[in-house]
Amino acid sequence: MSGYTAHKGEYLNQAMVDVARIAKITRQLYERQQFAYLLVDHNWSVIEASANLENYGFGDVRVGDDAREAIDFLVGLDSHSTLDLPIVLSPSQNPVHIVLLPEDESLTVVLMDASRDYEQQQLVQQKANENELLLAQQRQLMADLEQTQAALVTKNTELREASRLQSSFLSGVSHEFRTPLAALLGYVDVLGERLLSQSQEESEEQLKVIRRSGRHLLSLVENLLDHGKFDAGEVVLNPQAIDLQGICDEVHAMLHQGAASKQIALEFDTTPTPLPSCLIDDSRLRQIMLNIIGNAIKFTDEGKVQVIAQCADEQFSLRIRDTGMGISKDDMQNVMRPFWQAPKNGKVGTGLGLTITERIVEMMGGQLKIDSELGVGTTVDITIPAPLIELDQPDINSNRAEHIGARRYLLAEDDPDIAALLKLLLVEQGAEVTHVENGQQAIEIAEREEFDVILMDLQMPVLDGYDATKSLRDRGDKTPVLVMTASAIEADRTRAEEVGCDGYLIKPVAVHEVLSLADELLQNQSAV
Amino acid sequence: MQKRKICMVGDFAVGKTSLTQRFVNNSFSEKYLTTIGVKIDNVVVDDTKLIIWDVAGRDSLSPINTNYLSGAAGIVMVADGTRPETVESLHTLAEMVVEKIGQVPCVVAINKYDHNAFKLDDEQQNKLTSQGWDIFKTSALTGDKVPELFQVLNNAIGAVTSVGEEA
Amino acid sequence: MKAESDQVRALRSRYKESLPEKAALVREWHLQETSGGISEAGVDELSSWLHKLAGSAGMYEYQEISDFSRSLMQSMPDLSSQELASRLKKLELLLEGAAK
Repeated sequence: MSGYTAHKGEYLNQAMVDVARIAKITRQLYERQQFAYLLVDHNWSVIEASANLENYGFGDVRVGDDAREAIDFLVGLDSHSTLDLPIVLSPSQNPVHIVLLPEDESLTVVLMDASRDYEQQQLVQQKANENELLLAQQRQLMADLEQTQAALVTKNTELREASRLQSSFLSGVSHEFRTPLAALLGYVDVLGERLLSQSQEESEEQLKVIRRSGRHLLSLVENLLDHGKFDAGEVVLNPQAIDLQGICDEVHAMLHQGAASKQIALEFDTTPTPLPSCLIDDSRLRQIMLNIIGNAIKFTDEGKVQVIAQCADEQFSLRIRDTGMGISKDDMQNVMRPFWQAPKNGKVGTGLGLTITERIVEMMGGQLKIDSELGVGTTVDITIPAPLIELDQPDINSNRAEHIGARRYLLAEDDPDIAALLKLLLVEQGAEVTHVENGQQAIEIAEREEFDVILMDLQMPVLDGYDATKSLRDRGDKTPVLVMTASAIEADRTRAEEVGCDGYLIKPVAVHEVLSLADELLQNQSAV
Repeated sequence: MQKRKICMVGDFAVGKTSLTQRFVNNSFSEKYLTTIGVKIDNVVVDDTKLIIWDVAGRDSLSPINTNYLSGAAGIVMVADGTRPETVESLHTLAEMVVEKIGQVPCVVAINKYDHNAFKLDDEQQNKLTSQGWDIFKTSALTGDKVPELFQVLNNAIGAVTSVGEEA
Repeated sequence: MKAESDQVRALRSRYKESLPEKAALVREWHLQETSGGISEAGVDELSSWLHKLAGSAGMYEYQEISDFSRSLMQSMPDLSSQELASRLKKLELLLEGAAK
């Protein structure tokens, strides 16, 4: 107790010195205007404000006012809590360091100049943030680059796959050609050697193989040509009045043998029976049916292939159901791709049949759907718009000309080799042939003389076949014009039809083709 | 006049200052100037003076000084639509805000919508809306959706305070 | 099968005799293509000649020549100079082979 008393004066003295020193420092700071202060009660009513508060932009703070009215940054703050706000910028003011120091009855708000801190931090932080942004940009660029690279790799893989498909197609198709060709040539040799020695049945059997092989090759080539034509946009539909039942019967007859030889049943079920006549491109419809039903037979080793053909509401629908090997889910995505063939199915082909069929069906405004289960079978549903029509059935045999060779032909052909041979072959069939070397001569002679049929080459000097035909038609000459050309391009055919040609033959032409087509044209003409 | 404190928070360089300046002064600067501390501005919306605290963005070195958030009546969380990581950041930012000042009305601006690298996938968007936040695809450059952003926040604050007491 | 008449046979041998001449013509085109390229007019001429060859060779049962010249004629616009030259060479060989 006495110790405390003894030292009391000393402690007080020391405290006084401290307070005085703090007061001095504070005054010095204040005098140098390095801080300002505001004293408020807990309801923000101003008790006291340092005179230099206006240097901080708060000149109109008066005792008794609500401090929050004059000073925005106080809005929302708690007058009972200590708060340190190191750098605060208000519009048109220097950065300040604000500290809230609450006491029992009041709150002191101290404002200190923070310009130096602000400037230093601004420099460092600006640089750091800009660096980081650059890094982020760089990362983004790298990611973009990687993405582009990945896309290129994918594209490359796709291209390689396409190229692989083409190659495997080439080897597949070569194989496909070789087998029937070998059979064909082999039997031709056999026939040639034994023509005299073997029985007629044997010869007929060998002829059948030759014919079958030939047809197969032909269908392959046709598929290939069709695919090319689709790619070149050269396929045009040619809807005609056809007898649906007739087509179905015909297709059945064509495929029945193939199914029987594999000991599977091929059932045709048509509703109504007979199916009506309607407007459809018959050759394309036949192609669709042969492709799909042919495939079903090809991929079915036991059981049956069922074809349900219905015609209702001007729609022709076909359902082809088989009990074959079926298609796996993975393969299903590929079946429509050109040149694709199921791996290891043991069947060969061009891988084009289905692609072409789908494109034809689409072109006809129809739909093709495949539903399949591996090991159970496949069902293909096809619907094609089929406008109904009345079909007259003229007896085409009644008017058949008796002497199909005895006709007068005008042959317009500039190639002497072709002209000489064709003329000779026609004459040998009993025809009369007048040969001219260009379209102009053809027009001139057609004005003077009458012909049954004009055989017109398309590419000729002076006046070509198109212009010559057009000119003939313009003059009212209705003589059937049968065009012969070495071009297999559909556009040429279309153009020829537009100028008024009646028939179209692709060179090399066989004389019997000329004769039968000429005959058909004349039949049609006399029927009109 | 009634006054409300709202805070702009988000990662650095997402456009907090640009959105504020677009809204307050209808101006835009291409130049990037990083904010230090907090910049205070104000604007009047529907007879209410909004005191906008544009708080320095978070970066890898410095966290946000949450002292600046004290007493905020609403929060605008901002991300950069061309930097997906800044969108992800919103979730941790939100936790930080709640920890400091509790639940207050909050809107989200995914900024730089004018930029061709802007991307906000469904997953990100769903994750944000599942927090109950209104999402605005804003452009401080064009001003697109900027007034809506602040208007919706102000309305939300109004709805909350009319039930409780006005500060 | 019907026997071929003497006249037809005579035409066929005449055609066959013309094949070396045709091969020489193709050789000439091949040379042009490899030494600076066939002129634009020359290309038209060649195309039209191939068109005729496709027709006549087929008529005289030189199917391969016919098919080849037809496909060459149709693909000509898409061929590079090198491809065209190599196909002309092939055609020349085909014609020479058939002439034997």
